[in-house]
Amino acid sequence: MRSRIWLLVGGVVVFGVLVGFFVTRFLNPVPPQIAATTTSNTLQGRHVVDFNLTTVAAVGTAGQGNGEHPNWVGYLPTTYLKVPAGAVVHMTIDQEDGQTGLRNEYFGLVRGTVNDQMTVDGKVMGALDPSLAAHTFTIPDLGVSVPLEGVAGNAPANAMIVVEFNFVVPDKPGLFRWQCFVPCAAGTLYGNGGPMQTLGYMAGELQVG
Amino acid sequence: MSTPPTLARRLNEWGLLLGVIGAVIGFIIGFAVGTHAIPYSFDEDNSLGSDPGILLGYALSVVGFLAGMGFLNYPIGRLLGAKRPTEEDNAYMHGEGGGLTRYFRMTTDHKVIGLQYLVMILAFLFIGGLGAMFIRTELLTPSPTVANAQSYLTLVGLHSTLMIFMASAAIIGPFGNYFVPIMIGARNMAFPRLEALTFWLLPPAGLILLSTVFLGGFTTGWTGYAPLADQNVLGMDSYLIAFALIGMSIGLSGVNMIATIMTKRAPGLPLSRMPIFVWSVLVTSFLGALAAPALIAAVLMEVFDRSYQTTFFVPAGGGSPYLWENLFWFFGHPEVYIFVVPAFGLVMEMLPVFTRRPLWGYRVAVGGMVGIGLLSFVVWQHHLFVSGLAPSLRPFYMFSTELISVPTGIIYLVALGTLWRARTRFTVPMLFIFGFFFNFLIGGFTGVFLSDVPSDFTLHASYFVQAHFHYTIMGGEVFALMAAIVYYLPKMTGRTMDTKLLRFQFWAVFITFNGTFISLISVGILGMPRRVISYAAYLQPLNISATVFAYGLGLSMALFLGILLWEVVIKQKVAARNPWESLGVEWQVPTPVPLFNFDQVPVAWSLPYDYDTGKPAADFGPAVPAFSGA
Amino acid sequence: MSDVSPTGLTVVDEVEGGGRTLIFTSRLFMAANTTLQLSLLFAFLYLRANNFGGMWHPSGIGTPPQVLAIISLVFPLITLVALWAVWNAVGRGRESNAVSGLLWLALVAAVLTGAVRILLMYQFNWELDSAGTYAAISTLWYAVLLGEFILVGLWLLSLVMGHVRGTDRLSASHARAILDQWAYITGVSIVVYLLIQYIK
Repeated sequence: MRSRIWLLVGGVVVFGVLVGFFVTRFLNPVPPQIAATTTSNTLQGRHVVDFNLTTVAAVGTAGQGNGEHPNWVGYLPTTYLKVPAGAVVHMTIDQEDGQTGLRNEYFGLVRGTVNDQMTVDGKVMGALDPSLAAHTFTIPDLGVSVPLEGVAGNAPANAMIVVEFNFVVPDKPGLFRWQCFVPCAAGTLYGNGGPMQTLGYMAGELQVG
Repeated sequence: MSTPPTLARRLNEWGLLLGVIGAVIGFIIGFAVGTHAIPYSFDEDNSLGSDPGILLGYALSVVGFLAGMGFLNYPIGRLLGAKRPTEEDNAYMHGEGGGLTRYFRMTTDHKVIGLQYLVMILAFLFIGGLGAMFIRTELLTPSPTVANAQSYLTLVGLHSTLMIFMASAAIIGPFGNYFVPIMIGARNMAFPRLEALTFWLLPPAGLILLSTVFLGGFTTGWTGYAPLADQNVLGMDSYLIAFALIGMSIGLSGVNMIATIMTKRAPGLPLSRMPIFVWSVLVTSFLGALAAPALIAAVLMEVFDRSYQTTFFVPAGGGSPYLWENLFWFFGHPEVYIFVVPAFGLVMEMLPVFTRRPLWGYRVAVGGMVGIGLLSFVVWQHHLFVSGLAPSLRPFYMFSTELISVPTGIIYLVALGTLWRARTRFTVPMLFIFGFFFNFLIGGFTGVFLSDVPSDFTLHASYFVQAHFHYTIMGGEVFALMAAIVYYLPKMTGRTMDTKLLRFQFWAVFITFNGTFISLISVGILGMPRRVISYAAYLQPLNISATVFAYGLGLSMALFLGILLWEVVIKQKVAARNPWESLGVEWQVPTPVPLFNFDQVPVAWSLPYDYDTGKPAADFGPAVPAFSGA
Repeated sequence: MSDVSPTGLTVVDEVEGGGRTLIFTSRLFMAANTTLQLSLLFAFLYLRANNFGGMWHPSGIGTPPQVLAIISLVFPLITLVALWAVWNAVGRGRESNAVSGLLWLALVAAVLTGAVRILLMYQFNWELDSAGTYAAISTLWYAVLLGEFILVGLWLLSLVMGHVRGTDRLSASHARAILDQWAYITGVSIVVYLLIQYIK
């Protein structure tokens, strides 16, 4: 009887190890998170923090992100962002991707940022021609949506458009999902596959607090 | 037998290992061919491979596994015109003198296959149950904590699909395979190799499904709706191949069971005197054989969409996602009766034993089951009431769905008629049977609200639906499964697990189950949608209640498994020969059941429910010579 | 040893499936196959009625090559006639040389069926990712039928080999079961041919 008990215990242990391996593999795919850079500036009486993201096209960027990043369109370095509660986020996005156009022209409006405005290459704007957009930076729960102008097809290599905007995050901690509202995943069905539905490319989370 | 083992037999002993090797080789070949031979433009940059490579790799790995297990030996022998296997070979394949090792190789003994199924089902149930625990843990808080949205959806998909695999074979697999041939006086199934195949398709299916985690998972849940399935990452391919394998297993098992029941009954056993469980298996088998091919057609189209980039389900290319929804549910709705009809059969088989009186309304019950079987093919659109499909069809499907509650109600009344004024023995299986009836009643009532178009519009895709089918499948089928395990274990293993602790376990599982799913019915009515990782904050208290009860449910299910392992594997307490004093023929044959079931000819059959006179189901005639190889 | 068993069947019948079981099961498979074929028919008609963006049958998409498609139906008919003759001969207990000849004929025609149908599918010349749903469902359907012809063809080969080598003489029930099966698939492929050729 003792040997049978040991056999059973051994079996349970082996099974448990396998399950543990499986589960850790499973719960791990959250991409790395970056925290905002704090600054000494204030806006509307709140602290301003900085983010600098880059959007890259699918083609010709192999190896970016240390190989963790298959060759898909995405926001670099990551889409998992952390900011202190109650801050103003000053977001700078280096837009290197080309123009896709918006399916819903309404998303051409800048919404939810300070003064409902953004700065494109130094020019203040409240809306974008829908056909010029490459991506949007949209946090539905905060009402933030900013269209990002794409680089023209005839632009020189390595051209980019710098988009800047400020938005206020809530005073209470929370987790907010954000994503691009342009189905921009070239080569997948309706542009909605791969990077549009895999976290870390065109969607991510903003952790407040 | 002193003849030295042949090469084929030696290989057969190592079948499982050779199968794994075959699977690896098959995958490598399939992956290479699929990646390089099929022109393909989606997801070209994905570092893990392409859809054709993964799909073909999986398909050939299954072929390789089966070849290694020895499934091709017989067909290749036939193709070469080799001599037919001798009786000695057949007895060996049947597991003669095999001991424990025969459970780990391909055998043609329906009793071995029944036990293999039982272990497999419990493993699926356990892994799927772990998934449920993770889901409930995640839902403790309104926002993502343990997992992220994508892995949560994969988790839901894995839990549901694995449990569907489990449920579609939970009764038919172990108990159908083990007891149907004995109950009809046959020495074997009609096609024993096919029977082995239906079992050995399951482990590859389960592993392929689980491997989705390494390919990015799939976010569609168990229904695999297009066009999300077309857009999904490579993990979707695991789902497709695994479900196709399960569909094949269900279909082939159905054909084999029907053939066995219709053509291999002992002389003197007409259909009208078959045990009710055999009837339920017959009805279920027709459902499986006739519904599963629709699933296979749908999966083939999805495989074409994902590999050859056809547009069956893509509107831009002329296709339609509704096509998938129709084909899937044409299979999917009979599938839920595949779960529950054999559970009803088993419960009605056990009821007379514990009430000590004949089954009330045997013929009516048979009619009810056949009625369920026929109606289940014309109700599938009730899953699509809110999909926007042809509103003029809704009244018909509402009517047919509500109509199906009539035969179900008849079966219910038959059970109640049997219980009426009976001196019921409250054994552990009987407790589970009462649990079954209680839970199924709630499952049935909630179903009526869902079949009704107006109320379905508010309840569709909410936790109300989720709680409804958990009440029928878990509260119904799994309770019947637990009853049957306790009831039949003495026959199948010669050991008993009927202890005092098991009574406690029943009450624990019954209370925690209802606590969990009444909470979930409530959050459903309050509007919480299924398959979401985050929910409105006001739903948190009820979700915490569901999670706490679910932990208790998980622990009490684990306790059942623990008692089973402790009593059967470790304590090995020998059971009485016929502990429940049943009149069924399965309890008349000795334990362990002889290699070919009957050493004596069973004759003069009657219904095994004659507890008024105590007459057993069959008399035994002259002895049959065992297989001697002479 | 005595072959008496409780079911009244011989021991070999028990393990291999007796004659009645064989014919019955062959028909069961036909019933299950019917669901598969009806699902494909449903898809065919559904996609045809659906026709989003005119993508059922975009311009430039033809039908399968007529001549080959008809040839691919002639060979299974030859097999069918040969199998019918085999069944007739075996059922009347004819001597085995004629049966062998007929079986070879059936087998050769079956092999040619497979070959022609593979060739036919190569001649479709559709770019599946842009050829619309008519091309997709036709290709899938022809592939399914090809698979079924190959499976039943392999069964036929096993019967021929057993019979020719004398290890397993063809029984009337075997002949009947495979005749049923082949007739069914041939019938379906004729219907499918007409559907794809004329209901485009």
